[in-house]
Amino acid sequence: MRNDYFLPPGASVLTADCLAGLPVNAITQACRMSAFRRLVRWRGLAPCDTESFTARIDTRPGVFGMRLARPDDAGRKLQRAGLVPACFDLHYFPAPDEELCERLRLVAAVETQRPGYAEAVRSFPLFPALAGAFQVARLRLAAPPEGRALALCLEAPEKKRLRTLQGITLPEGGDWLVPPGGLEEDIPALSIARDWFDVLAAAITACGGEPPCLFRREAQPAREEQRDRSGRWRRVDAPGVRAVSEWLAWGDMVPPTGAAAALELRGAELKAEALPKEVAHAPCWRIHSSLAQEDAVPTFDADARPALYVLCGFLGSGKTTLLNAVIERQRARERCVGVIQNEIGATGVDERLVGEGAPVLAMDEGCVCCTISGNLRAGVRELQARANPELLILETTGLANPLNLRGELEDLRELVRLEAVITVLDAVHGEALLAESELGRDQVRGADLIVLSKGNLAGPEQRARLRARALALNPAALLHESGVEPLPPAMRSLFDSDRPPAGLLPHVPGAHINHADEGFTSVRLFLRRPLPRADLLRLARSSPGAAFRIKGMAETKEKERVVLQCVGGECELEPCPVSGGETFAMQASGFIVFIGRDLDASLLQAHWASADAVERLPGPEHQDDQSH
Amino acid sequence: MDDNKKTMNRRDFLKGVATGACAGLFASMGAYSYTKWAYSRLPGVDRKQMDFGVCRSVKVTNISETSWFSNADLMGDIHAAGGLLVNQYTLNWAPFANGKGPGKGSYEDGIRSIGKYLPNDLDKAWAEQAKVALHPENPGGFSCLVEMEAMDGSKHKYLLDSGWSFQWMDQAFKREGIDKMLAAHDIEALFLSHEHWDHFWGLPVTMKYDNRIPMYLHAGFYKEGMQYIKDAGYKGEPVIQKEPILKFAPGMAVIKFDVPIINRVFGETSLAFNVKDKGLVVVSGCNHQGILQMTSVIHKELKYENDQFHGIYGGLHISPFEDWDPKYDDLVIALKKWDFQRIGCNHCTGVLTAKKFVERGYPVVQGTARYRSKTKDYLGNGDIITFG
Repeated sequence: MRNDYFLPPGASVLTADCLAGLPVNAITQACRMSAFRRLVRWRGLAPCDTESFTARIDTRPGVFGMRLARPDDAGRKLQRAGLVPACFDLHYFPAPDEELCERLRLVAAVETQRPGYAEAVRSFPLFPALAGAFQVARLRLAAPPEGRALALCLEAPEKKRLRTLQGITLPEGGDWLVPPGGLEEDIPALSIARDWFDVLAAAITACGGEPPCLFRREAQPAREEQRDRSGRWRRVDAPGVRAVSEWLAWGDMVPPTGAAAALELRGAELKAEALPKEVAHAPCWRIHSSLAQEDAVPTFDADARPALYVLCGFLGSGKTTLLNAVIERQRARERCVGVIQNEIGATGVDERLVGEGAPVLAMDEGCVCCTISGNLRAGVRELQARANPELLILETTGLANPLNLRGELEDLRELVRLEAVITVLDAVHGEALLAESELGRDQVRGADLIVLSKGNLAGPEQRARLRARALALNPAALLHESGVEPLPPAMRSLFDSDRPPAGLLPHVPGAHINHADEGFTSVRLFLRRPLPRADLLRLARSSPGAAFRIKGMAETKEKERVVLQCVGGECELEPCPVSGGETFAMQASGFIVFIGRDLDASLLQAHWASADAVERLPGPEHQDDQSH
Repeated sequence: MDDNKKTMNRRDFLKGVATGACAGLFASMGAYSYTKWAYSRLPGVDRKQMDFGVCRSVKVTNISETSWFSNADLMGDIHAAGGLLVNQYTLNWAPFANGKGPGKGSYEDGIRSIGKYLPNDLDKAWAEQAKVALHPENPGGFSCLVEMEAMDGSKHKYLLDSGWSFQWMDQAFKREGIDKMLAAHDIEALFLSHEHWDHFWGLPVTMKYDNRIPMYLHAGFYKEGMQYIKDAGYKGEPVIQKEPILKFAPGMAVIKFDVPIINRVFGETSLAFNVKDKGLVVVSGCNHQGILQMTSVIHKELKYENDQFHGIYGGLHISPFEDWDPKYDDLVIALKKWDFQRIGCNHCTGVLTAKKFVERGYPVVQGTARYRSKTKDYLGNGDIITFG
């Protein structure tokens, strides 16, 4: 059994502190394996203070709170047996709308309905008088002093009950809130606590590298709290209710037996068939097979993966506008949208929208299709870990070819459900783009869904021609049009549900042309006058501001079409690979995009004055997608 | 008992309390459900507030916070090697590379190729490794100079971490004059926050200039790390911190956190200073323990001026388990809750996080984005922050 997640590698003797920190450390370490997070339906953990933390899993809507407890009799007994013990109190704070609230004792039940309850739960140890009412179990750890083995115990009554013999009425002879002899509290403590116990056991199993070697269940009659007719508190036997202790052990350890061992399985006897049903399903018995399959395509019985939409489309087509509309709508539905975009696109996302509701992850380097495998994977994991969004949107740079992305996206299947590639096509410029740019055509070919944007700026014939052209390139795609309203009504439900219509993803052939022939922006200038090659290079090299990348296409005075590429101060011109027709379909001889920080558009424009540079071409049809 | 009474639906009652209709009523019966058994177990918060003295000021010079230059390459290599739990010495990064590919490197192979050059011929050692390592141009490193002014006016210099790339760190040391300070034994101690590549693998650069500098480290270093300290040319005896808090000097303590960190590293230490009239200042490598953990340990264990968290320098690590709910950003909450007055963050904090702090109006000290630091939103290479 590996123990270096709780015992420092140089240490040879285990202290109580090592065990006190073990739950958080085991979970921290296990969360670095995505199979673990998936298997236990992990949400997150937040420390409250040095001895307690709250955590959430998707199995229950509420919050678990775990806190180190003072040594108790059972702990002292373990100590006498030569073991190092630690014990913890486990609390469960139901969500305010959970039915369980009604079964809590009144003082706790009322607390769940108060404003500020969620905040208080996050720091529950500050409210000891109240937090105790939410306790469901005691957890116990024990290990031999050299730390080579470990045992974990769950102690909880099947039902935690509080009975009042005289009943509780509303004042002044009102109705019974609890009739005489009735239960003021009646919660299924064991099954609630088991959900958390299973997570901890799975974490220990994942970190230790081996499954439990022992299962033991002990049971005795449970006690309930009772308030008698004279107002005295008593603890009495709860008829028909058992208090259960369950041990799991790792690394060849047999914890000392209590009085009433009902079932103990070890070695060859420890088989799934022999375990009680509710125990056999626990993730600790299958975590290792899940970890082994991490890179295979797993099956998902309880699919908690977020949906991933990939947003493609040429520069200025309206991707960001559509993205903002989706975020706004989802936010109003309290659904969390995670956005991954290249840093260079980040400027366009509406800050008011992403501030609270949508975590945005900027992928730092270059175009997504060049670096996606390492980067996107890390990005998705980070977003999931940070915010666990229901919906992920990858906004590509406009240079990304969805046909190249497919293979990479397949690789993310264990993390996300790839729902659809959406390509935004500008109704005004789309036709020219499809005529000229292979990349533009590939963006349409690779789409599951095509959005013709800015329909309000194009005439009906123009739109019809573009529609026909797009569908000719990709007959399998769905096509929607947007205009003043950036999110087509027919698309709204697509993002709203957890399960979009099946079969959105057609099969797409493999690799296609890569980019390197178009540019994307922080500051974009249109060049309206061709420059000599030498001037183009000189101006690019001496461009003001801290652009870490400059890209562009231009027609030179020498009548060549060139691509300008500047990375890290190195600038070069290459022949433009786009063939035939008018290259740019605009009243300009080229454009240049400056990607970087602290770029001053007016300074840049002045610098490029000899090319008659402008930020915006005249005419309403040239509005770009970042002007809200 | 009056059997004519009806039993009120519990949900209705709760709704009544929540909306205020039954509030007063509940106050009169609140005592019902408190029993001694339910509450006896929760001890109150017990602050120890150990006195560790005060100092006048702390100045931190960022020697380098750019641990690596391409995150994509770094993550790609880690992923190719098998993920976040793979032993860092096998990743096949310089200076422990052997050319056999991700996950197949070893400490022994690396040190065999460069041991003879350490610590004096660092260029040669790095060049040797660059031939076989994955992405040899990617390493940078984390290191900072901490200058504490004691109450008697005396000034004390300490080095926190020694970076990664021999070349990058040697340049950075020269840029900030660290090489001369080390050679003149002006720097009183080297603290190694944790064993990670970007904080520790550049150790030979410090050794090149002072191979007897007092060295302090967490008890969680693995055997490769302990061996590296010797192989890098250290001639002293490292002090291995076993106690949770080491009082180092008046107003200065080293706090040890026992946490497992990615790629088989265990534990991190942070420096804490008690600045006269200001409050507590933390200087950290990465803060892998998490900011909530760090602040709560300090709050519980140490006594500091005005009971106020004054400042923080270093990486504010966003650890993946701190995400409890998308509505809560623990880093943001913690900085607000503890009311830090000067935030000098960088390194693993993340550019976006720093921007978020700035947007929220937190007192983030701006940098100058020089020497390949990515943003002015945080303290970059060569920048200085002073507390007190």
